[in-house]
Amino acid sequence: MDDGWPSSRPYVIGSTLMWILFLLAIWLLAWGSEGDRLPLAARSAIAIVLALAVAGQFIAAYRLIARQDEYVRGITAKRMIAAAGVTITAAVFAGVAEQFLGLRDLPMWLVYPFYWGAFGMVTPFINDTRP
Amino acid sequence: MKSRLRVLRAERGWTQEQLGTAIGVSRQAINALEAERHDPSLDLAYRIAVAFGVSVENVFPNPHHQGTKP
Repeated sequence: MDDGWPSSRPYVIGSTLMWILFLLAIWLLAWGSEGDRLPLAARSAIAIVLALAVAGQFIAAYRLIARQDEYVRGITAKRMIAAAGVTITAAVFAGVAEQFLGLRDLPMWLVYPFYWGAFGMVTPFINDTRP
Repeated sequence: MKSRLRVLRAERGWTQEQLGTAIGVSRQAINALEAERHDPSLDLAYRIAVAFGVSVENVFPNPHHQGTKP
């Protein structure tokens, strides 16, 4: 068994690196898009790296969860499902509001930090693995 | 699920941490079992029973048992 969610040192290090990569890629894309400072090919490559950072974070989280005991696996799965529900609900509302209610366009990449924020918000309320 | 986990652990003077380490789960898992916030898998129930040297039903009374054997 690992030393515990989410305090595992390899997970914290890997997760922090993925977040730094994600935020750096966002910053680079924002900077590079102004006045075409970076060519399209470079921006495309950065966008792919950004997406891979998100995938890497989820792979790291999955591997960490897989090493936990059945109780921690159970509550973490429930928390992730609840966070996904909150995130998808908010994303659907934002999408409809953009299309039909005149809400200004929101960047879709916000879904990623929103998801982990939602995970943090639901965590204190889910401590039971039973239905 | 109701259990005698807390009683059996107290009888032996074990902490939740010690019991968790002995059976390979976290202290949080032991706490959740004692607080009836987690129903153990059959494998975990067997591991707990072995740690205490008793049968599974001595730790987790069968909630479906009607009191008489067929």
